[in-house]
Amino acid sequence: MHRKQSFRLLACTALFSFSCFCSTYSQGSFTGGFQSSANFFIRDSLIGAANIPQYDRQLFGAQSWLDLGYTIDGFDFGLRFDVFNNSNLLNPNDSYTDEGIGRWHAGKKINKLDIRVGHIYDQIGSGIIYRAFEERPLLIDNPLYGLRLIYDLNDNWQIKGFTGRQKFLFSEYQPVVKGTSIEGFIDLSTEEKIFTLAPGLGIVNRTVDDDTMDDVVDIVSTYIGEDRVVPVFNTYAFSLFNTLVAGPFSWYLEGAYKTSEVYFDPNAILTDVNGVESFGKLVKNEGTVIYTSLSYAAKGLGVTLETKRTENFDYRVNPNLRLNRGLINYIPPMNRQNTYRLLARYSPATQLLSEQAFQADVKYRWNKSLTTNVNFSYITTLDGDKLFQEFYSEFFYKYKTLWRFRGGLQLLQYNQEVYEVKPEVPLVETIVPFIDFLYKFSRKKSIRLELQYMDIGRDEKAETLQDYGDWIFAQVEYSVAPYWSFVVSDMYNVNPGKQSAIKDGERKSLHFPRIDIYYTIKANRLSLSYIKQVEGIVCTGGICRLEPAFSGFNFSVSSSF
Amino acid sequence: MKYLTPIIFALSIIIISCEEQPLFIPDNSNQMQDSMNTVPKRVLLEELTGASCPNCPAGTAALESILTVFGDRVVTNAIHGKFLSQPTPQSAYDFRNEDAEDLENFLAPFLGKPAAVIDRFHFEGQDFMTVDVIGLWQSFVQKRLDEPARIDLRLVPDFNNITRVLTVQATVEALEDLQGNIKLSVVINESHIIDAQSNQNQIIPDYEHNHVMRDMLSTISGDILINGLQEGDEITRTYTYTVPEENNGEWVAENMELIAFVTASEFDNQVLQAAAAHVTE
Repeated sequence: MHRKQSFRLLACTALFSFSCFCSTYSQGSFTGGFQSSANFFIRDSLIGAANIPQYDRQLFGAQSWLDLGYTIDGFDFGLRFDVFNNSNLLNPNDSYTDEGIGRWHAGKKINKLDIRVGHIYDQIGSGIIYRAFEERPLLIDNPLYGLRLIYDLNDNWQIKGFTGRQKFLFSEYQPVVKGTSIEGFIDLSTEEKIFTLAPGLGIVNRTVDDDTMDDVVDIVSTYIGEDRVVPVFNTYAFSLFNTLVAGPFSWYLEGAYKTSEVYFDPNAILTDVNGVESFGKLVKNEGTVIYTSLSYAAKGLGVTLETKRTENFDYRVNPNLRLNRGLINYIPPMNRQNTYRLLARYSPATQLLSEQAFQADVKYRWNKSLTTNVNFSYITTLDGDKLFQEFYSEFFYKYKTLWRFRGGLQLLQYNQEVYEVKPEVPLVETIVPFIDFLYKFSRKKSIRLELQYMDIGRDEKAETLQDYGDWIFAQVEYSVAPYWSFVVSDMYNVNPGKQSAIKDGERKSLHFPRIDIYYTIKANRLSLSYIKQVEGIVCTGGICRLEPAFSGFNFSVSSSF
Repeated sequence: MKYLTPIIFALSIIIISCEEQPLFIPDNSNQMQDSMNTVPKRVLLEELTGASCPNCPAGTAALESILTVFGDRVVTNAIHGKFLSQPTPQSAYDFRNEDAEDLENFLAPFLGKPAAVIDRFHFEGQDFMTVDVIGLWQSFVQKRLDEPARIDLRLVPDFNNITRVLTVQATVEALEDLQGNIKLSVVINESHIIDAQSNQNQIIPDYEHNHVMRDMLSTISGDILINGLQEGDEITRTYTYTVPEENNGEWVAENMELIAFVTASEFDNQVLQAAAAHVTE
């Protein structure tokens, strides 16, 4: 066992011994949760579910988390045990095995001062300069391992300070992250009208350690001419934000600035000693983000307008980290978070270096039965190159408690060259009509039907349909509340496209069936699924990654207590 | 609100007062390294690459820079395995082969491509033996070149133009006492192949592919030569290989190179010495 793991185990034992000691004097509260997912891999090279260790030799992979929390007399303790066995969650193309204490914390509020040590999840404002959070589907788990103090200046104002190092799996990155923020609430409401302000200011600093800086210096020392930059140890990010509520209006505004630092720009051109140019180098610039959201809600009408401008805001603990690793901040996405299978097939990942985005969402409730929703989002680079555009409309009709119907249309454009780095592909264009119908036979028994069809544009250069071509998706879900749910679905590549599987020189129309059985008893939920899944983008909260195809069985358990 | 102004003032003072000393950046862009030793240490750089890998030209450019800087003290092999190695729609050739796929698996895990394995050494601060930050390759090569040569490795190829039979004698000489299994690996690769290559969001139709791994004359993990060597001991191993007939610009003997390297279990199977020789030398 690693020395660090031993220390954590010792610390946790001490903390829980302490909590047990306290519990002899007063009654505390224990909470917890368990989540586990096990995959049984069945190789299917035709759909691309092959060539990773799980398909080739390991055949099985699993990941589990057990959360325990205990509060007593103002003390707050938490512990989480993580297990990864031949898991493909960290890297979908590889296998990861490790286990240990993934998180622990201890805290106490003493009068107006809240003290917490251990692994700390937190954010400032909307997260643009700092967010420590967990997204299990992408194995993002980046709490700060250190110390946080929060002091209540009065009932409406509090100041916060923290310092530590960012967690990665079962260790920490070396650079130190520290920050402070002050947030408040000002109520200027009158009897006739609500008028409140919630302003805040945050500052986050990252200090690179010597080893990381040595690596950065090693890299830039090989650059020549104008490519050479001088890195700095300290980078500061500032954010000023406010939420104004005036009657039915709510307006959030946040502006962030990051001091000049070195980061990796994959599109910057590097000229090497041979005079050869290639993409990708470390560059040094300041960064900015401006984000605002204006919403109106009254009498069945809800309107939200959002816009965001991002320039050079890749803020990481180490500039040599890529993808979702080492991110200190989180820039909110500017598109609708779709859940239906084909509607969610092309989702844009937030661009950290150059993005201009706009979104409008209008909901109107005509009466108790009928609701409509229209959403439009538009994302470009700062140079005006189109990245993403979505027009989404739906109507929802509910007939008593007997049945309900949701139907709509999505028109989408998606820049696959940028989001998936696929060369020489046109802007993906899709039209997706969808319906969702639920009928209740009784108070306990119901059936739900989903139908979606994706009509995709043509790739003129490849003389075929774009990407994987046209799809049809159908799903039937039969539920017997509160215990059972049976789901059968199929995604069929009705007209194959450029990326579709080729067999015997012909593009194949393949089925991607899925069968799920869910069983829920009290706070336990178990599921067993047979899955064939096409390669696609998996996004949670604007953070996305390309997931390879999957073929096999999945068994999942989740519990809470 | 009364606290806000003094707090902001205090924070501003802290930030403004923190000014760090500027860093000195040495110029390592074109430094030629001369070894002080009679037998210089040569470094093996195995590049995990692929024709459909959009970032790989950047890796290849970095590799060529390293060869410019360090010359023949760096021995390279470009492995077109499974991941992102399928031909592009414009490709004339398919560089994948069974040995390359097996070798890629042997060197895994890696987060993405391009990635390099340098002397099969796991560098401090890296998650894996594979290094996916291209910019670090040169400094890691430099670190390995600073290591003493514990072994000398000499290759003597003999190619028959008519029968296309290639015979290579690989001689390993211990420069110090070594324990454990000593293994020898021999690979044949080919350069100057013009074919399509993905490059970010475009395809370069006439990209020059170099050091493309064609076949492995030894086993993937290397052939065991002996268990333990005394200083001054020499072992010679001979390999014979029939180079396939030239075919549409492939398997051109003049463009082919033999590379060999020695690993030792005493040093966690890192590469102790590497060597290269042209097939038609």
